[in-house]
Amino acid sequence: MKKQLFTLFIILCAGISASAQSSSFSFQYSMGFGAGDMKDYIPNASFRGATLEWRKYVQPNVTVGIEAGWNVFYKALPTDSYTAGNTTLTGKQYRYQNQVPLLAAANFFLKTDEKLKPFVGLGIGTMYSRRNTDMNLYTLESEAWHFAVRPEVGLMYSMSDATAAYLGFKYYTGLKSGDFEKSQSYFAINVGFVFGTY
Amino acid sequence: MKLTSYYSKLLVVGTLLLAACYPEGPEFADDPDVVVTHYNPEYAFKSKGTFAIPDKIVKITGNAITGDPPKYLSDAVGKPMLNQMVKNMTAFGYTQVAITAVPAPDLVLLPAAMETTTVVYWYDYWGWYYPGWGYPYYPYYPTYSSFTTGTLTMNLVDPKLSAADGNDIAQWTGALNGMLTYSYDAVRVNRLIDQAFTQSASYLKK
Repeated sequence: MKKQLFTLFIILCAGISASAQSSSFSFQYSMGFGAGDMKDYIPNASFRGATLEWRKYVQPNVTVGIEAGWNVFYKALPTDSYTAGNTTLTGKQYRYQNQVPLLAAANFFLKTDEKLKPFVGLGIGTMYSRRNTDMNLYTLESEAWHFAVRPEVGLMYSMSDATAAYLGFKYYTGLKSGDFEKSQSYFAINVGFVFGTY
Repeated sequence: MKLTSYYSKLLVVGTLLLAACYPEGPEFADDPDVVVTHYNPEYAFKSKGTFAIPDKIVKITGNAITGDPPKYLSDAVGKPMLNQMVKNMTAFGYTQVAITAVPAPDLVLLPAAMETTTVVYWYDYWGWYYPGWGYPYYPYYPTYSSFTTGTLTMNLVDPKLSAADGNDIAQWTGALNGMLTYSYDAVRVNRLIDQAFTQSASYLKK
């Protein structure tokens, strides 16, 4: 964990101290689609999520910055019975999984002089996962801070000098950590706006 | 990096919107209902033929510990529960006899009920935060809510077997727990009693 925070800190400092002149904020609505172990636990897509990004241009076609996001996955299971040894428990189960990635990120723009700017990006940092299985008035909770990687492809469409529309496809992977015996991964489709000067 | 007032407002609105759309979870009073059963795999339930059951359901209130006489559920509430237990035991092939019968019944079903009230406090300040777009000028004020859960346990004991301390040993336990509402819902409770027997049928049914 300390290593991850240190890496994040170094990349952050590098981004902030870079000599570029402009920066931008982005507010994004995020839809999540679980993969692997997360999908096994909650197959439903998440339509509750958001991402905030801050970026600084270090080259005309390269930005570095930070990203913070949140997605919550949810599924209510119908009444069912669960048996362990000589004990059987019957009831409804409510499953929640919250994902909070905190990443240092860089984007590389394939085109810079057109209104439509495709880009590829990579984020590295940490991701907090919290899984709650609620039955009756009790909850079973698992949580972890993972080392996380997030590749991305996306498009930005300039609407004015200081505003752009944003569409991004991201894939978050948090390596096995804490209470989780498997890595936690999900796709995200983000739409939003970018505000700033660039 | 300095957040402008515009961005901070967007951030506040966004946070409130996201908080408002958090998954809802249980919606109805019976959503958290659970039924738990546990049994002794060494005990041969199917070789038993008769059972007895008291005519009242004791309410666990702590009175017995302090030496006061025990309390019971009212007949209006307790009788339908007892009838449902008898119905299930009979359907499983056991014959009801009086608790004083000779020879003694093979099994005795001992039900008990208890209530637990939980009070939850929280501090509501978002309402004050929102209109002025700034920090709250009013002190936080606490509000609270409470809920009461009810538990009904059913213990099946063999009067011929007891622990070293003289207490009966539960060979089968069924426990129902759920949130209590203002009115007694016999259909809901009966459904949970039935569920306790249904999920125990593989070893309890003759």
